Amino acid sequence: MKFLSEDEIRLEKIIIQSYNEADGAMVLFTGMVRGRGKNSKKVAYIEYEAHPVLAENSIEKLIEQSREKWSINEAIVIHRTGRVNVNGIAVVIATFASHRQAAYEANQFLINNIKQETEIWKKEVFEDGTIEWGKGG
Amino acid sequence: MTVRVNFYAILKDYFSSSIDLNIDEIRTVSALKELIIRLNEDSGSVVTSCRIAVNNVIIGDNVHFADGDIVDLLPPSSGG
Repeated sequence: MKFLSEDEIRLEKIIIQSYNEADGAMVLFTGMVRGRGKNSKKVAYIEYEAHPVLAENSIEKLIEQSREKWSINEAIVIHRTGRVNVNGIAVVIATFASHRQAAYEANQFLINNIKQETEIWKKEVFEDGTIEWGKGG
Repeated sequence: MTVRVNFYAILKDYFSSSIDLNIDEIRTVSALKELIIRLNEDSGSVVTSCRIAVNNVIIGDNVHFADGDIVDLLPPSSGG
């Protein structure tokens, strides 16, 4: 799978492997698991589930759209599946461009739309044993 | 005609991961959702909010199901 990973996300690997000489800017967004959920309940971990085919296709389409809208050289998206502990990285989006504005805007477009459209779901598991499914968006 | 229906995320609180459904009379997504809700009425609000994919393609309301189709019920996304 290109965009989904069951394994821990290694930021340094993504950054080093994706640079090219045309890049003047890289914007890196990392979405992490917060230690507190709604009502300040302590989070134990989040479990991410994805539809492997549809989620991969959706992310690919969003990257294509970002390339059409902004002058970026590269966009890397990796979203975790499975269990991610508190402070673990759930998603990484790196956008590379000659100039910073395109990198910033493309990055924001990607995370906003991945949250809203991609066939990925999260289940928060709290330390008191209760769970809560993500409500979308 | 029988289709395999797969459930994801919160839907697994109401159904097993997948079920085989006979849908001879079903011609629309909304009719399919109504049939599924009748299996567990507590699932109503979640099922209503779902998108549907058939054989890995998201579809609109009108659809011609074929025997053996794989139907995915997709709750609103909550990644990130």
